[in-house]
Amino acid sequence: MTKSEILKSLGVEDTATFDTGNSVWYSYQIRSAKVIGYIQSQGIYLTASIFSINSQNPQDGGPAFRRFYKASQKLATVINATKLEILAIAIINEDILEHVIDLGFTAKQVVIPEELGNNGTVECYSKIIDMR
Amino acid sequence: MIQDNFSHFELLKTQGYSPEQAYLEAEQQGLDFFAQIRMLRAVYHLSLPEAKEVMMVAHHQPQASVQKADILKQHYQNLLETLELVEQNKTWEFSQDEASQWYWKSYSAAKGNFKTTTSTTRYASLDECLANATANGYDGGIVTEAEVQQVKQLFRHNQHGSPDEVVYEDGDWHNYDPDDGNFEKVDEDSNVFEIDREGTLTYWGKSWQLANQEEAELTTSDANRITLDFPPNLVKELSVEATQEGLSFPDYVLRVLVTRPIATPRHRSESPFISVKSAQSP
Repeated sequence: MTKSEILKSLGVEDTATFDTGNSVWYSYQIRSAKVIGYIQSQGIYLTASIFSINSQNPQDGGPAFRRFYKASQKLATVINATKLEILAIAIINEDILEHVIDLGFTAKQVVIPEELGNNGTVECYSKIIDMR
Repeated sequence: MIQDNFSHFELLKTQGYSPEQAYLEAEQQGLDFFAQIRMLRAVYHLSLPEAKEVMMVAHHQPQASVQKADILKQHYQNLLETLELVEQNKTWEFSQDEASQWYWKSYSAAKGNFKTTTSTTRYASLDECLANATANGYDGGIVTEAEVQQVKQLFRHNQHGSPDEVVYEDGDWHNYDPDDGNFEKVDEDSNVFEIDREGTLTYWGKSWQLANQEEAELTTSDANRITLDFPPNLVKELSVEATQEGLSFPDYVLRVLVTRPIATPRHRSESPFISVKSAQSP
């Protein structure tokens, strides 16, 4: 898959520019689960953040999260990122949290980026994947 | 450094917009995801998790609810504006003068379009007056200044009252015809608001009631009315709610209009309401 195809699968707007230093937000829906988040590339370091999964049916949250998880890794590969940090920010859904912990995410305080109104830190679940 | 201008949303906040409403407004205005979050945090001083929860709650709320509130607000505005226009133009008159002759001026209002026509011709009877109006093809009707003032007074009373003080209709509701789909409130002292199953809210002037009493040949299309249409999706939603409440659709919609605060009141203490006549009104 190409970079644009991966971004498209995450619902990134066509007009968004995904280059080093830029953050692009994405939004997609799988069944009842709507996913919102953002991706930021800084050279060899790719940060893929999932901000919310909003699902009426808890069973839909898992597949929705997995798309993000897989797409993030594919994206890291095609842009030659050597480090991928996947962040689950302020996860509320307990069913998603279960998936996150199963996948080896650990709790971490992260400085809130300026795009989200920088003001202190927020608790996230983080997983850093070495892509080499 | 990101420079935001959220003055519009600051204003909405002062007008009583909730964070959820402001967020949906931001979406409608095309603000991107980041800007929406920054707006919630800057204007409502929310933490990031709180802002996120607002987004989730707002999306859990059926869009139609917000749309419904907007539509009800629009109905209220349309009705009030129409009444204001009637007042400004001074085109209504329907009374019996000292010589017991009827004279009339008429207007018609439908879907926000308003036109007036006047006549200073005097007629010997109400029937003659109405027959002439019909013969001349006026699709408008007749409303008295007293009626307009009465409706306005009720609106204003409710506009400035608390929800507990809203004036309610307490007359006998009758003439509900399931086949015809109409539901109407007719009594000698009050104005009439009617909701049909297609979601048209109609205000019927007293002349229509009077005409009925006089058994004049006045069809509904000739009667004085202000018509406001609900869109089909809202009709569908309200129908479901009515069923859940165990009420007929028109009854339920009227209750919604009477009792529900219209969206985004300018001030919390001045939530506008739509109401109809009450014997308990001051």
